Order: sequence, then structure tokens, then C-alpha cells
Amino acid sequence: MNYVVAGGFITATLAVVLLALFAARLLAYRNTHPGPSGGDHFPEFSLVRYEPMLRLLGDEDFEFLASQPGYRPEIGKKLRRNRRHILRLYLRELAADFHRIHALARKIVAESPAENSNLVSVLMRQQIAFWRAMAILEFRLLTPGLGQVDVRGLVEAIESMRLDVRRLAPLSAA
Amino acid sequence: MGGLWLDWIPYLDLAVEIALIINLIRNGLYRVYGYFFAYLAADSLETVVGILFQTRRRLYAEIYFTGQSVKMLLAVFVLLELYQIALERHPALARFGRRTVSYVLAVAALGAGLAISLDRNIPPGRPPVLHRFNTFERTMDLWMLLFLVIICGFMVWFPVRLKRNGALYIGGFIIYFLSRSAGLLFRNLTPQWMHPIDDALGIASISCLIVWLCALSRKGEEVTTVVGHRWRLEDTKRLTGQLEAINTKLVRLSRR
Repeated sequence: MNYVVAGGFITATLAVVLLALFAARLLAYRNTHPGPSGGDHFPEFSLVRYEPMLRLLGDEDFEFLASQPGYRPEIGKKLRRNRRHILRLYLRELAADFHRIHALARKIVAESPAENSNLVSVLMRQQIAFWRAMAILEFRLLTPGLGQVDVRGLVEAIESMRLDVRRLAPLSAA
Repeated sequence: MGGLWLDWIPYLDLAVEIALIINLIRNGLYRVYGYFFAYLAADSLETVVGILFQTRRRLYAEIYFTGQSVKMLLAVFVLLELYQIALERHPALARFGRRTVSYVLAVAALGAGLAISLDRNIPPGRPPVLHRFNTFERTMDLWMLLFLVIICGFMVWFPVRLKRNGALYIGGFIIYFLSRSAGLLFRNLTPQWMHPIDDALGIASISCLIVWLCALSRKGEEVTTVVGHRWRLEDTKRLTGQLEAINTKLVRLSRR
């Protein structure tokens, strides 16, 4: 028997299975649920509810816990696991908001005049960028030893987006 | 009995096709789907001429090669016509489609080209010219199938509202190109099964023709429009701004 070929086959099969499981995890972010408003109405989008993500995997809580008497490493590991689970729940909410907004934007562009055709490529790029970022984030969450997950920047951008929305709101109300 | 039935497949195919051509003329749809009409006419002509000279093998082969080549060329125009018809009521998508159609064709051709070597070896006893022509033909059919799948995916992703005739047109050709591409591949790989494969291809073709004959109508050109909100460019900018901000933050998060 050719062991090299067999080894290659086993490796390829394992890689396919792992990729399939990873894709299945990513697909969990595909499912949306009705938000505060649906259908043709402008989606309600609150950025304040994503602020708790900032602290979830920050080092402060873990350092404080480690300094307490009776601390054991298992306690820290359990806390990290739980926090990772909660972060995933937040990411699902964020993904649901993204899908809802994106679906409405696609609907608008489909009904737009020809002058707005450049928005089609904008929406495509945004969709690709979203899935790429989610894939990297999920990979980081699955492999805790390979780099930290810091959501500080996410909250800053969400705040800046909230200000942009507030600035644009008077235009759409006109 | 089964064998006698199967010998009648080409004649049944021709009869249904001529009925469809007459139907398209009768309800004026030949003006709307001009290249589709031309494709059917070319196929009918090839079938009639082929039947007339089926006992003269060399001439029959030349009729087949010429007819299939003309149909392959017409099929490209059928797809472009289909693309235009599907997006005509969506100006932004139509303009984007016109700008990117060559890229989509190139991607589809690349995909089809990957399968070109599946039947590289010619089985003993099989005429090389016929084998290679079948390879060329199935690659073209696969190319068109991939193009159709890509534009269908694009239309599903955006809420493109199709006319019923348009949906039947697209669905029928997906089945047609899929069956032809797969059938010709199996015909090359297993020439001993050539007759059953040819009969299966004939049945698939007849099925598509019957659906088109029964379902393509003047009424199918009507589009039900839903009156919703009247959106403005500012609304679109607001939404894309929100999307961009979400993505920017996800990217920053993933880079830390």
C-alpha cells in the first residue's frame, strides 16, 4: 500500500471535514430573526446594546479574578469559555442587524435608477468583507492561543456609525 | 414495445418543437424572445435535415456538426437575451449587469474549462472526431449552465421580480444545459451506453419543450408590481454607511 497516498487522502478528508464544520459555524451567523421593525420599514438599529462586548474578553476581569484567594486556573478557563459563548451571542445579534440592513439596501438598489448602479458593487464588497471578518473572528474564537480578541475598536466604530446615522437622519426625514 | 417507443423520440421531439414554434408565433412571443425562437428554428431544421439523410452516415455527421455549431452560437445570444430580459425592469442592476457580463462569462468559462479533461482518453472504437466534438459541445453547455447559475444566484440575492415567462425560460434552459452537459460526458466515457444516453437526452429535451409549450403565454409577460415605499438616494447612503461601519469594526476586531 502506498502510505504517502493514504496519508494524503486522510489529511485531505480531515481538512474537508474541518472546513465543513467551520462553514457550519459560520452559517449560524446567517440566520436572522425579526428585529424591532421589519418589511419595508427602516430598520431600528441601536449601537448602545453592543457596548458590553468591550469588556467580555478584556484582561481586567481575569487579572482581578486571578488575584483573589482560592483562585484556580480552571475557574479562569471556565470564565473565558462562558465569555466566549456570550460574545458569540452578541456577534449573532450584530450579524442579524447586518443582514437586515443589507437585505433592505439590496431591495432599494434593485428599485433604483441606473445612476445608482455603482451601489451594486458596493453591496457586494460589503457582503464579502462581512463574511471575511466573521470568518477571521470565529477562527480566533476557536483557537484561543492564536491572538487576542479585542472588541474595543468595534465599539468605537459602532459609536462613529451612530453619529453618522444621526447626521443623515434629518435628510431622510425631509 | 419499449424499443419501438424509444425510436420515436426524435420525431416526438420535432413535433413538440414545431408546436412550440407555432405557439410563439401565434401569441407574438417570438418578438420578445427572438434568439430563443431562432434557436428552436435552427434545432428543428437540423432535426428535419438529419432525419431526411439519416442513412448517409458521413453526410449525417456533417449535418450534426454544423447544426450543433450554429446552435451553440445561438445559445450564447439566448443567454444574453435572457440576462437582458430578466433585468430590464431593474435599471441599476441592468447597468451593472452590462458592465460585468464579460467577467461573468470569463468566470463561467474558467469553471467549464476545469472539466475539459474528464474525458481526455478516447475509448477504443470510438471515432476521435466525434469524441472531441462531444467534449467541445459539453464544455460549451457547461459554460452556459454556469453562466445561468451565476446570474440566477445574482437575481435571487437581489429581489428581482421576474415575469413568469422569464422564470420558465431560465429554468428550462438550466435543465436543458445540465442534461446535455452530463449526457455528453457520459456518452464519451461510456460509449457502449450511447443509445440509452441519447434517449435520455431526448426525453429531457421533450420535457423542457412540453413545459414551454404549455406554460409560455401572453399572460406570462405581466409582472405583478408591489407598491412600497419610495426610497431616496439618501436612504441608500445611510444604509450602506451603516454596513460599512459594521464591517470596518469587524475587520479591526479580527486584526487585533
